[in-house]
Amino acid sequence: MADCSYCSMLEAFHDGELDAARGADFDRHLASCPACAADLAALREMSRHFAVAPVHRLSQIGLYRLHANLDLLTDRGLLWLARVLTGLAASVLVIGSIWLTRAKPPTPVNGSAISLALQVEESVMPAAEPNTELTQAEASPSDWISTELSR
Amino acid sequence: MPLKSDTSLRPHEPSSTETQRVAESGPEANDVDLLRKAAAGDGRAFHALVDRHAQRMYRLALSLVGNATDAEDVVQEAFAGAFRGLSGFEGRAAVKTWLTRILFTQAAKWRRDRARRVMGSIDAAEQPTVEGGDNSVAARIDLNAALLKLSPEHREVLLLREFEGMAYEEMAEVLGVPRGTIESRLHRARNELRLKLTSYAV
Repeated sequence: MADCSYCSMLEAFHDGELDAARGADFDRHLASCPACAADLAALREMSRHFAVAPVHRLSQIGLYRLHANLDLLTDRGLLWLARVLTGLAASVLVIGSIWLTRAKPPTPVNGSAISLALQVEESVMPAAEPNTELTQAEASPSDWISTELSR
Repeated sequence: MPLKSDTSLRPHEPSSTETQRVAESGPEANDVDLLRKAAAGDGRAFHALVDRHAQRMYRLALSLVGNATDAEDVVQEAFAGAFRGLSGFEGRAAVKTWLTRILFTQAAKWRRDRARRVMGSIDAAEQPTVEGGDNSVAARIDLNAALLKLSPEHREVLLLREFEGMAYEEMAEVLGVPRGTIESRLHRARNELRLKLTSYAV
């Protein structure tokens, strides 16, 4: 290992981390310092090992697995979103159902506008003969409304 | 936000080759563009990003963990982590740096899990071996075997510098340490590796 004032810059020089001025200065120093030159050669030799090292590549099957697993991940994300939305919809349905079953039916109000309208209708319209064969749908709307309200 | 699953780009389809995916994402699309598209829900963009970086990440992972199966798992987890953290990418670092940092985090997690499993020190018999290789001098010296005998910190700086060609600042960003630490760590790592390689060569 070189033991001069420049040796601390050796690796930075090798790694291209010195600015242009300091790099040029170190370059000049190399010409006059065999120790630094030898250390630099050793560093370059080590880097050469890395440069010529076999490149291990992910196989096509490995790449396939990588993409397939990432697709699973995206699917899981969508599944999670679908579950959340389904849960929200189910909650709304259940709460709505409970609210509807507990809600009290409206009570008919005596003397209301509907009752008054029915009385007027009865006084104006001639009384129809009772037709027992008429269904609820075929009965007059006012009858049906009053029946429903009185329930 | 979960990404849309794009079934037309599933890898099992013959048409979904690496070049096609990258081409479909636009030849001019750089990593940041792809990342932003992926964050916006474009599944194809994320797959293109994976295609671009998978081999590089795998090579690093293999040198970090030492065997193909675990390396693949680490890469898998790294990309899954990247996918989950898409919205967290702020663009301050390069995508390559960001992905490498995630990979190193996953590799560290793998080491911790493995240490718990074996409940002991890693001896030579347990050292995983790197598969493949050729008959070159470098392969016989077995750089990877020497690397695996270094401490994880030393191995990491050497890989980032020699395989990835990263600058000191970039390495500092990946490893989350000051630049000065990178310089001293790299110096010690090189000295240690030189000794290992010398012992192999003898």
